[in-house]
Amino acid sequence: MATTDLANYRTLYLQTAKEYIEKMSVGLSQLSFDISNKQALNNIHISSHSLKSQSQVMGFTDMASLSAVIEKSSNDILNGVSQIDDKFIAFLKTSVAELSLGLTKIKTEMLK
Amino acid sequence: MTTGKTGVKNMKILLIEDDKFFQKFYSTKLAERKVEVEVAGDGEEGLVKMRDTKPDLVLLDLIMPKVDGFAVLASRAEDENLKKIPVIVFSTLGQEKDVQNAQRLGANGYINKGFFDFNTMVATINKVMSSH
Repeated sequence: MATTDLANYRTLYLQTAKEYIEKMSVGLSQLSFDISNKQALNNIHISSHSLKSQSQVMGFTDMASLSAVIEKSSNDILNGVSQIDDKFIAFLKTSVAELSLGLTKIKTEMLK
Repeated sequence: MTTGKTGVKNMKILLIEDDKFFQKFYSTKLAERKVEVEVAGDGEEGLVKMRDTKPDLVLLDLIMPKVDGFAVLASRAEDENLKKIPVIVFSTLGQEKDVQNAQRLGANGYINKGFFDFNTMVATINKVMSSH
């Protein structure tokens, strides 16, 4: 992307990306407690979708790619294409941790 | 309202989008081009504002909490007044099926919001406005 100035949106990106990762983390906790919690899964789906889109616009491709995988996986479960299981929960835990780490790296880079 | 090669100056556009990042991003970019922008944070609010503000065009996100973009398109399809308002949906990576579904529900065009380019956006708006 980028025939536009993105510097003005970096702070907003950091704020909203943090919120989406937190929402995914909350959803993950709820799902870990009750894997049939569809609202929690839907919240993860919407948050990963939004994080993917804004990361793509900002050029943070690793964040966008990982969010896209979470989005597709959660969407497949919501649509009955696949089933939720321990493997998915484990994948989510790893992914949310990676996203959080990725955001910290972006923030550090921005402050340089 | 001015479209065509001169752009989108003086258009009134309703942005239905839950994401604060994109609300700010598109509002700012459109306002820079003298577009009057109204924002709705979800589909329910979007439908109300479509009726109340009668925009020239709607930019609609598909994946939203509460009432999503598909439900907005379905409601629009049943309302003779709302059908007169052209709608462009936002798509992103991996949403090809969603775009097809949106077009079946009456969406007039789509923009990939992950690869923002204002000239492409204006071209899409012009195409939709001239054919609607």
